[in-house]
Amino acid sequence: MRVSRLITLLTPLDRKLVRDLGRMWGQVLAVSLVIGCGVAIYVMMHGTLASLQDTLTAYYNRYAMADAWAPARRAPLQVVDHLGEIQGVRLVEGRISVAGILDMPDEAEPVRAKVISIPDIRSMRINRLYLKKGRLPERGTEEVVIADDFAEAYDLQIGDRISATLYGVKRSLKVSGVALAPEFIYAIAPGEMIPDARRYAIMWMGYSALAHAYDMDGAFNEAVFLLERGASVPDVLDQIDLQLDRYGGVGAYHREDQLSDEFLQSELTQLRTLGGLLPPIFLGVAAFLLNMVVTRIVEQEREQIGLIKAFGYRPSTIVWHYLRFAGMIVLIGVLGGWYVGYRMGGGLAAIYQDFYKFPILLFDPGQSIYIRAGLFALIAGVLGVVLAVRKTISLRPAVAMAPPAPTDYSKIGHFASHARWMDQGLRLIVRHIARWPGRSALTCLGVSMGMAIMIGAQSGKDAIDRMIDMQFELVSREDITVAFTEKQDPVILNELMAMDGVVRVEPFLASSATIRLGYRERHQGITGVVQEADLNVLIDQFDHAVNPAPRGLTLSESLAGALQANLGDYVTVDFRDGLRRTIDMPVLKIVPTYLGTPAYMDLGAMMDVLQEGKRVSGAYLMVDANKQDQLYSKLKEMPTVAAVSTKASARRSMTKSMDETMGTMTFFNTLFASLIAVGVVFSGARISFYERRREIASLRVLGFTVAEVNVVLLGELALLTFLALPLGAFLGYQLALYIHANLSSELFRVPTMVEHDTFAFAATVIVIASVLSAAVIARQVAKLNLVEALKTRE
Amino acid sequence: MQQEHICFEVKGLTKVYGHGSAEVRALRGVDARIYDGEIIVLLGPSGSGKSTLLNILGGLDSATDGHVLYHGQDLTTMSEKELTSYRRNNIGFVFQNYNLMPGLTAEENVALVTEIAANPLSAPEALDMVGLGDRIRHFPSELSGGEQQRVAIARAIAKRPSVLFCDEPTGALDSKTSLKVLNALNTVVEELGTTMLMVTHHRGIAPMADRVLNFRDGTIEKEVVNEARVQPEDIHL
Repeated sequence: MRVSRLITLLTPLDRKLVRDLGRMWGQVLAVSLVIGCGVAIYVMMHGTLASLQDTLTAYYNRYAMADAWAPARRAPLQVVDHLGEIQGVRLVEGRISVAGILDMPDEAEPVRAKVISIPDIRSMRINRLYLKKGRLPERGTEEVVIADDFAEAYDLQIGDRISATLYGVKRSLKVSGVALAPEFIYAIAPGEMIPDARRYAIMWMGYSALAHAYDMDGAFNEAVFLLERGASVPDVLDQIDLQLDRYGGVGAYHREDQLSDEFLQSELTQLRTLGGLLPPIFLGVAAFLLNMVVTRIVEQEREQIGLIKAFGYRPSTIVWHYLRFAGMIVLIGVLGGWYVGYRMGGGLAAIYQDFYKFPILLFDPGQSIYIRAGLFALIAGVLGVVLAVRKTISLRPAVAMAPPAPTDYSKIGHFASHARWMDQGLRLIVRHIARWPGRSALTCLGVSMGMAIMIGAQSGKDAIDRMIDMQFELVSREDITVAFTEKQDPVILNELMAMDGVVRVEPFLASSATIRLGYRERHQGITGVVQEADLNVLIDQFDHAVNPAPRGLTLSESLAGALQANLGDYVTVDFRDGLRRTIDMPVLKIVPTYLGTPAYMDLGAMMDVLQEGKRVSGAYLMVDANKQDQLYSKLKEMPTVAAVSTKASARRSMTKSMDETMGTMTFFNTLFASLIAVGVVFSGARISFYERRREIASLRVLGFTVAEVNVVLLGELALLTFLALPLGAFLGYQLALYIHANLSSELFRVPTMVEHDTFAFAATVIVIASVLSAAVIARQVAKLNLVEALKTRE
Repeated sequence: MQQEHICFEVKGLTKVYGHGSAEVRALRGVDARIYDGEIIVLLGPSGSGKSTLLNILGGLDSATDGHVLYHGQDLTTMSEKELTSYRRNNIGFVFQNYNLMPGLTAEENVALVTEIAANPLSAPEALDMVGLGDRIRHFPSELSGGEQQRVAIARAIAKRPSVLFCDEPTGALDSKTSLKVLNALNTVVEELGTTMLMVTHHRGIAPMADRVLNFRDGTIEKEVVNEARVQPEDIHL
């Protein structure tokens, strides 16, 4: 059926609706675009969030992700049975979890490995593996199952051999399988911030072989637990700690303190934050645009509205008519937004799947997300229309039908009359803005919001970049960190210093501990560091180096916050190393940190507290860049060295990973924000053009050139855009503050940082959008039919 | 009436709007000659083509066929830019619905034109001429219809145009106000020696003119030459 035939079947008002939509397709499209962006971003973010959450839950359940972990030094296997008797424990497994060093052929740096035992005979019941390829190790052999991302990073195949140093002994491990595990979705090496499969490997080995290598026959050093539903977690953890205390237990922890899960949850929280923040802004702007468009139509159709009312149509019918008009625009936006959001969400989910190594990830936002997105858009639409129609609807038919009197400018007094330097064009611009302050302000605000979202969206990346800079330039100034297998006499520092290429050595001492204040407690490493440090430096809020308090504790702001500790408070510290003493210590300094929740002591004071004599856990090294490679190989071969990590590669991988996840999201958000800005500017310009066609035509008739008319018409847009730039920058900064506060977690603190480039980029997009809109309008001014325009009423 | 200088020479002017069944022939080969300093009244029913002729002579619309020479220059071959410059330098317009800028005062509305003209009257001078010397600081919303129209006249003549086009200048006004407006027009035309073409429905205005062109169906049906112009205060509306 032809369209024209269809149209004849409609009621007159319906026909008007269809024709209005066709006539104003440009604006309809601009508004739909903004609505579509809001809907798409909502579907994308909430869809990704829901999909990630569902996938995570399914993955955890299917592969029996542990509820609790309890590391210890060495406990006999019989203890596992005792642990199983604790009330609230459903299942427990004892395993060996140790650190090793790998020597990968095409990697100069030593690669750190975490090796975990799997039962020889029965199958794993907790933290089960998803075996992607190959098989589990055969009993008693030096076969290993390796993590999928590590296999990928080095292109390792079944049967390949890996050269490893386990407990100081060189071994050749054979790859028997490739697997994924729910507890290492985020496989982060101790002391690192993000996963890096080239530098940190997770692998699983048969119990007997691993026990043999580490002299752990008949023993375990980590218990993993599944808890009963409804079990009291703190009570269970206390019971576990009690049982493992004499086996060197360093404190059981719950899943929410498990690094991988904690990172995942904080990622989900970020998604939730942005997902809750951006769509309402988009839809708010959409409501504003709809309001502008409908206001314009209603003003133009005043007479018709009066006529229709005179015929006896009810006001509600008329409101309904305009609501359907807006509804059509919303519908176009929502359908487009659904589709784009679905596609982008799928893309984003795929990125996350790749990043997290989920065995499966289906992007299934669920109907409710689509419905909610649509509803929000509809509400925005209705709001925009009702506000626009209200005034005209309430006019009596006779009044509505009479042509409106010339706009009364005397209300604003003789504003700008005495400025003799102004020409009439400028005076028109200034008075028009002053006469419609609300609308001018809204236009300005709309453009500002577009700019603000762009700044906010991009600033997340700025802040992360800044955090990485701070961490790697101000705090970690070392090139290499060496961790020893056991604590060593400080004499070893001389050995390190004597190595070719080492320029400076700074020792540290580490101990696991539980820090308690009132009912709050944290399982927490405490690091003993030297005064006047040069390599691993504490900083104050002005980024100046500070020393650790000579006695007592120096806490990171994040840890002090978690414990609600203030300066001078005494906290109870259970040291899990040395003589395992429990001491009340004062909090003497609180320092800002960007990563983690560290706690520090003076190195000497910590040695005194642990009462192990003079011992160090590791050292920070500054090295000669030219000799770095030889140094690695030498370090790798030292039996006392458990792990070597380099700052440069940590930084590289952190930047890369942030680019992957944040980068994609930032790109989409910036894209949408740019579209909003374009939508607002373009709609504003077009509406201004339509409303002032008569004035434009008059000026043209008086002999004004197209360029001169454009100055008057577009000058207002230019002025409002110009005003919107600083406002947008301000709002953008506020938005950035809010986003950064919400991006910060215990794991990292995001500094508020908006690069000048970000401001400049946002401003440039706005200016380009304005110039393009102006160009389109200028063309219409040139093509304007003067005779027609003069016939239309004001 | 014999005059040496031909202002407009109109030859076979045709204007067609629309295509096919919707085609409207607004002008069907009009020929006319208008001399400098003449006052011409164009009479005729709606749709007879008088406004179309005015718009084409004023450079607001283009012809489908035929030629219009203004002091020997062919308007029908001019570019949009040349037409703008033609309007800017030579032409004044007064419309039925005033078309003032609501955001500018009376004085400022006139200044809009004086700012871009080569040898204009000052805005107060122009407003004085139409009898509004005391209302120059008022916004359009503060003026009556007749006053608004007189501001429009002041604005049209402030640049000392050689031709003034008026399309139903009194169409929206009562007879008393209309006379004031006609008086204003007459005054400025006589003082500045401007050629004036006025489209109107009012037969009563015809005696004001040197010649009256009666339009019907896109052609000039009849031309009436008045022996002498009658002053507006002596005509009856």
